Amino acid sequence: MSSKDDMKLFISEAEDLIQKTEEEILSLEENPENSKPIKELFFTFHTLKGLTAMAGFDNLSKFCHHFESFLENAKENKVSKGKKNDFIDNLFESLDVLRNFIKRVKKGDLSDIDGNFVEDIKNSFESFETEYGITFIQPLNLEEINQILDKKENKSFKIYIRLEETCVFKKVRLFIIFRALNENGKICWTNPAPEDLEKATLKNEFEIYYITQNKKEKISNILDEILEIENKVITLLNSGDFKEIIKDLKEKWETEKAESMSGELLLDDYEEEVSVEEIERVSEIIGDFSEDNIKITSVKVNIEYLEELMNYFGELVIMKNHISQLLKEKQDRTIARLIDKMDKPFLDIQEILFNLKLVRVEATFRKYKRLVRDVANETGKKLRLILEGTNVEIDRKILEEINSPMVHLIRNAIYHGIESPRERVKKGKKELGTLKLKTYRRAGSIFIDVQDDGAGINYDKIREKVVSRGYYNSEDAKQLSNEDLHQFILMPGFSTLSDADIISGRGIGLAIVVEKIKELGGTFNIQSQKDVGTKFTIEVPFTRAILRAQLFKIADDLFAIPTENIKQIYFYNPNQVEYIEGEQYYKINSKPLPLIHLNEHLNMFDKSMTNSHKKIAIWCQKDEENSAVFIADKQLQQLDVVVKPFKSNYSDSRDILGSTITGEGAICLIIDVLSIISSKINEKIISNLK
Amino acid sequence: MTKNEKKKVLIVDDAQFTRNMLKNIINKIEQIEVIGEASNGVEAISLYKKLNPDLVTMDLVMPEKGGIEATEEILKINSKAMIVVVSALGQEALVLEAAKKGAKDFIQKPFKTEQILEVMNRILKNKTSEKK
Repeated sequence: MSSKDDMKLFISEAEDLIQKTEEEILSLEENPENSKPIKELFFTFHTLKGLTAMAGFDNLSKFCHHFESFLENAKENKVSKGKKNDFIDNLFESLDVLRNFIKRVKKGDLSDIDGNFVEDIKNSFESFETEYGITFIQPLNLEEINQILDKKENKSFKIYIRLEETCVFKKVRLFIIFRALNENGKICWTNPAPEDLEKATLKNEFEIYYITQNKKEKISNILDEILEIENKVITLLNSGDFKEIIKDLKEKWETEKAESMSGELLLDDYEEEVSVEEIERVSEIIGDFSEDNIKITSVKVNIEYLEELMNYFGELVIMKNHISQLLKEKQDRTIARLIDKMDKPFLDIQEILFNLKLVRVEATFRKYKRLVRDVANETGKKLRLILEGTNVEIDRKILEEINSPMVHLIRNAIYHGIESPRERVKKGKKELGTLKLKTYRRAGSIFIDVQDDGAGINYDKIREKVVSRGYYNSEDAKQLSNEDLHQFILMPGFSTLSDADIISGRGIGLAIVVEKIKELGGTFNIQSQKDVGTKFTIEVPFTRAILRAQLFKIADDLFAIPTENIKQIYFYNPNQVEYIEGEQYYKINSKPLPLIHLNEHLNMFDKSMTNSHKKIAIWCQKDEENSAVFIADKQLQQLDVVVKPFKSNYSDSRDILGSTITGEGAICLIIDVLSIISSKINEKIISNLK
Repeated sequence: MTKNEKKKVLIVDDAQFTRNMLKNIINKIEQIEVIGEASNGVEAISLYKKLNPDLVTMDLVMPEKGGIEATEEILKINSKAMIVVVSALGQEALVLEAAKKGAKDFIQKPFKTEQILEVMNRILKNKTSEKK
C-alpha cells in the first residue's frame, strides 16, 4: 500500500463492493430460484479478490477466492431450497468478516485476516459445494426412451423402494442406489420427479422407472448389496405401459411445476406493479421524476468535496447578498441590474447543489432487509418486508439521521407488532406477517410509513395505565381519543417493559424516536387498529441546506426564522396580549394564540432593552391548528441563508435550527419555530394532564 | 476361491477406540478377519498396496490424509476396491463426496454390531468371484 490516498480508495472501493454483495445476497434470499444474484456475487467477489490482492492482503484475497470459486459452482447448479438458509447464513457470516476487516483497516490496523480463518471458510464452502453439486439423476426424454426400448433385449421395470426409517443421509443413499442401477441399465424417470427427489426433503419411498437388459433377479441382487433399503418391489412392465406411465408422470409434474411457477410470477408482477405505480405517483408530486433518474449515469464524488463545494457556494450566496445590499444603498442601477441577472445562475447552481445532496432512500432501506431478517430469526416471527418508493430522494444527511429511528421502529414492529405465526393463524390472519416501508414526498417533506399488519396498539390497556398512574379517573379516561392516548405512549417512561401486551418497550423507545424526528424538524404520527396493525409515519423535511429566512434582531443579536414558517409579521401591540390561566396569548383576528417572547425563551432577559413599541410580532404556523406568535425586537431583510449545524450557547439547542453567516459576516441563529410550537403543544397537553 | 479362505478387511480410522470396536465386531464373523489397521490416509494407502484386502472401512476426517483422498487413491490402485465409509453424523456432504469418488457404501457412527455384520455379509457375499 503506497499512500494514504491509495488506502482511502481501497477502503471506499471495498466498502462499495461489500455493500453490493450484501444487497445481492439479500436478493438471492428473496428469490433463490433466480440465478442472477449468484452471477453478480461471483463477479463482485472476483473483483474483491483482485482488489485485496493488490492491496497486499493475501489471506483476505484467498478468502474472497473461496467465495468466488464456490459461487462459480453455484452458478451452474441450482441451490437446493432446503439448504437455502444455511447457504445464505454462511454468506452473511463471511460478509461480517469482510466488514470487520474494513473497520479495522479504517482504524489504521493493516494486518491481514487470520489464515486459519481462510481454511475454515474453505472447508465450510466445500461442504456446500459437494452438496449442491448433485445432479446424479439424469432422466431421459421420451424419444430417448423410445429408442432404447426399440432394442428387443431391453426390458422395462418399475422399481419401488422404501428406505429404512433410520436412514439419515438419504441423499447419499439415493446416490448409491442410482449409481448401482445406472451401472447396469438406465434410469428413465422417477416418481417423485428427479428434480424433486434430489431435493433435501426426501421421502422414504419412491419409484424408479428403469430399463435394463438384466433379469429381475439381477436387479434384486444389485439392490441387496445396498444398505438401508427396507423394502423393494420390482415389476416388469410391457414397453407400451412403461412409456404411458412415464408420459403421464412427466405431464403431471410439468403442470404442477408450471402452476407453482406461475404463482410466483403473479406475485412478482403484483409487486412490480406496486412499485411502478409508486413511481408514477411520485412523479406526479414532484413532476420531474423522469427516466433520467433511473438511468445510471453517475460518477463517484468524495462526499467531503461535495460538502466543501456546498460551503463555498454558501459563502458566495452570502457575499452576493452583501453586494446587493451595498448597491441598494449606493443606488447604482447598472451594476445592480447585472447583479440581479446573476440571480438566475445562482438559483440554477443552488438547485444542482441541492440535487447533489440527494440520495435515494434505497441504499439505506435495502439494509433493513437484513435487519428484518435477523430480528425475525431472533424472535421466531415470520414476515416479509415490502419496500415502496425506494427511488424517492432525500438529503443524505437527513437519511443518515433517520436511520436510528427507523431501526428502532422496525425492531419494535417485529418484536411487538407482528404476532407469532401461531398467534396469527389463531386470529385467522396469514401466517406470514407484513412490514411495509413506504416512502413518498409531499410538498417540502418526505414521509416514511412504517406499517405492520400485527396486533395493533391495545388502547384499553393504555387507558388502564393512564388511570392506574393517576393521570385521569376511569370515567375521564374513557373520553380520551386514540390521539390523546398516543401522547401517553410518547411520554418517556410511560409504558415499561413489563407491559408486554400494550406495546412494550415502545414507551421509552418511541420517546427517543420522536425526539430525534423533532430535532430534524419533522413530525411523528401513529395510526393503529387492534389486530389490523400499526402505522407509524415519519415526516422529515426534504432538505434544509439553503433556505430563505427573515432576519430580525433581539437586542443586539441577529436571528432568523425560515420564511416558509411565517404566516404574517405585525408590529407588536401590547393591547392584543391576553392572559388565560396565567399564560400569555396574543390575539390575532380575535383568536388568542400562544405568545412567546423570544428574548425570554432564549434566556436573554438582561439584553432586552428595546422599547416595546418598536417590537414585532411574528405569526408562525406549524399547521392549520397549531401556531404561535413570536416577539422580536427589530425586523431586518429577508435572505437566502446557508444553514450550518449549531451548538448552542442559548440554553436549549433544540430551538435552534442552525446558524448562518450574513453578508456582513455576522453570525445569525435560525430559530426552529416549529420545534418551539411543538414543545408548547406538548407542555399544554402535559399540564392539562396534571 | 476356496471355501476356507477368509476375507480380509483393512480398518482405517484415526481413533484407536473405533478401530478396536470394529475389529471386535468383524472378528466375530468366522469367514472374515481384520488383517490391518491404519490411522490415517497415508497409512491406509500403503497398507492397501501391501495387504490387498477384500474390504476397507474408511473414516473420513483424519490427520495427514483424509478418507476422501485415500478412497480416490485406493481406487486408482484397484478400481474394484470395496470401500465402505464409516462416518460421523452430520458429514453428509463428505460422505456423498466419498461416494462420488467411488466408495461402495457407508455407515454412520455410532454403528450397531448388526449393521457391521450386515455390511460384511451383503457386500462380501458374492464378491470373491469378481475380485481380481
